[in-house]
Amino acid sequence: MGSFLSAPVSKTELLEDSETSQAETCKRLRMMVSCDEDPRLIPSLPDEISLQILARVPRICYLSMKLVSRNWKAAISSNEVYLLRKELGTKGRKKKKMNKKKADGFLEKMKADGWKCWKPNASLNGSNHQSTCDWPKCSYAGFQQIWFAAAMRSPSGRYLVEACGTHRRNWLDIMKLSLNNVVRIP
Amino acid sequence: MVGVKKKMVTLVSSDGVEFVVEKRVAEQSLFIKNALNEGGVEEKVMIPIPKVTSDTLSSVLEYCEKHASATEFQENEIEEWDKEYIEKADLDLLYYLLQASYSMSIMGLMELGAKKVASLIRGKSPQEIRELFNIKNDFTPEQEEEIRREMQWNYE
Repeated sequence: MGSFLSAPVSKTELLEDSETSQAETCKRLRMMVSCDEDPRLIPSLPDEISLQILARVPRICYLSMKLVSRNWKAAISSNEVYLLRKELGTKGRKKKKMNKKKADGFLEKMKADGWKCWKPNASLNGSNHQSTCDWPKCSYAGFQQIWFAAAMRSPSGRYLVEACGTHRRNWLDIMKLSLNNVVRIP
Repeated sequence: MVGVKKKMVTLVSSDGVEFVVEKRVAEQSLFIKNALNEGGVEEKVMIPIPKVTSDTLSSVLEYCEKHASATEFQENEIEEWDKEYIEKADLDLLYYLLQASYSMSIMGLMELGAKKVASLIRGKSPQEIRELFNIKNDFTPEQEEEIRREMQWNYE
């Protein structure tokens, strides 16, 4: 067994590397499985798992990740990570921005049409606005994100509400909501 | 005849420790579910789980047990529980949990672990990432500079 192990070790010139003397089980396993010179992305994990991890890191971290090692750079630029991201829906970022823009545009138009606007401190669930949605004027759902404007009726009058939040399945099933704007309908 | 007896399955870890669990708990793993379906054996099933040690397996089964009875809880309760469960795992356990969930086909646990490790990468410098995972930097300073420049172009 010793001789079997020593072959790939000397081949990859890892002997001078003091870190390998830790001889973790995973590392030994790795050498038995693959004798090629490419080290793994994350030494303690098989690459198929590491790729799953990399695909779940937000894109903003890509510069740091590309600078880790040659392997990491290749992996992050690879089609595999791209496809995994696509599958996971984390690529929905671009789409989300467009939807937000549309919702903003809608609000701008409403304001231009003479809606009065005031910013409330209370949340939608707070006592000020316990009314239910009359009708959704527009709703845009991206990946787990939603922007919408809706007319609402409360004891003090009618309001147009612009909000964004996270949803579970569709815009009716909203988990967290933050209010961006409330426009009083004259 | 005294009520319905729960179907039990015995899982054997790589270091030979036996875990007797309910079938519905073990079936959180697709690997085990398939093994049980194929085998068609009703009583006294023994399933060896290769490459998964008893320490890891007991942690994996903790997860399976919770998720087998997920219907009894609110969705956010499960989310809270997941968060706490993965929070207390150190990096080594995370590695083992990921490998176990991968080989045993427990997708939820795999997702949970991968997300956790991804969150550790987030916001770290290249050197910090290398230190975290014990990765050797095989770039020359010139190459590093080149990548930085290349990336800058993309952002401008």
